[in-house]
Amino acid sequence: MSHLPVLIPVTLLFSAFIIPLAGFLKRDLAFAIALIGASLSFVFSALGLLAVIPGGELRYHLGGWIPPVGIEYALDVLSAFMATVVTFVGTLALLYSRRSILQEVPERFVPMYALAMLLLAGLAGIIVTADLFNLFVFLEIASISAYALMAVGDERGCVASFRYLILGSIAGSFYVLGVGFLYFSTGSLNMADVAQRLPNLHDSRAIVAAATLIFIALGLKMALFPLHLWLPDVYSYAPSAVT
Amino acid sequence: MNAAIADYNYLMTATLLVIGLYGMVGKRNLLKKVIGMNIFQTAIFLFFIQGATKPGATVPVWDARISGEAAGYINPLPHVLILTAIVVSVATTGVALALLLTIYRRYGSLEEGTILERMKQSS
Repeated sequence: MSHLPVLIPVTLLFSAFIIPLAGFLKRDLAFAIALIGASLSFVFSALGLLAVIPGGELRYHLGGWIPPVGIEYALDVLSAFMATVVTFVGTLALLYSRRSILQEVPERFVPMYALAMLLLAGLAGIIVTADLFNLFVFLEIASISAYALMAVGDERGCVASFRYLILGSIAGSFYVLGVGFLYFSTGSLNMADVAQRLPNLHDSRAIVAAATLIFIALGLKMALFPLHLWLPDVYSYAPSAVT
Repeated sequence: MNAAIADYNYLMTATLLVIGLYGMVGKRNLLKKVIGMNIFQTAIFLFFIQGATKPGATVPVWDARISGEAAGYINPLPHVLILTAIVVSVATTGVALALLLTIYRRYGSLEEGTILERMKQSS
């Protein structure tokens, strides 16, 4: 069994944990590790993409548990492509960010990189996971590190970031609530499994409620039209490398 | 109506949800928003835990008298999920409180109106 799907987020997570330690020794070591971690994970995503392009998909069962019971990570063409794009853009942003962070917030150099890697890990995890609740966990990893990153700038950034935090946690909670409805009506958290069982339940009101809740939640997270109020503040007050 | 009385626990959870949402959206004080957030999340935890119960079932720990009969145990999965969700909620609250600390040090207030006024003055 190929380990690629799980290696993508785990490399990022692992480097996020080493960066603060390395930062104690030498500041530039933190930058080097962040860069190595991000590019390694880019290599893994690209390898994954090459492996799935001829057809088929990579599935990884965490802890060896078979899917409806255990958590599954899956790479198909779409998710492998997304993972490649995200890790590539992340690596480029890290390269560029060094100078901009040194200019704007030099005293927070090391924590910035640890948080940026956590954010990337969250995003990569959202892409590769095939489990509804695991997606929530990665969503919150990405969100919480984003709140912290946005507050690194000045104090106005803190106010904007607090507003984002309140809306973001409403969104996260709606998502879990929707997943709860889905789980209690289908009895499964695995995406493929839920998709298989949904057609039998298409007129159930719980499913409609779940779909509505999840749609509102993801709409808030990606700032879809009526739910975009948090966005302008956050972008104007956060350090430029973060945006 | 009868269903509402029989499932009154879900009604209470819904009430908690609404109280929490009101606290987050309606209150002007930032600390009260954080408290509202916690109430909101607790309501969701309760919803999951209630969904795990079955009539006549016991805690999901091996019992020789019930042995392998799945109907004899309540569903342990929602409990595990909520354990994770509680950790997430604690982390969010921690970040929120840290942000509030910085905001209070800078603006000397946690009332939204006062902060906005002082932001305008300083810029």
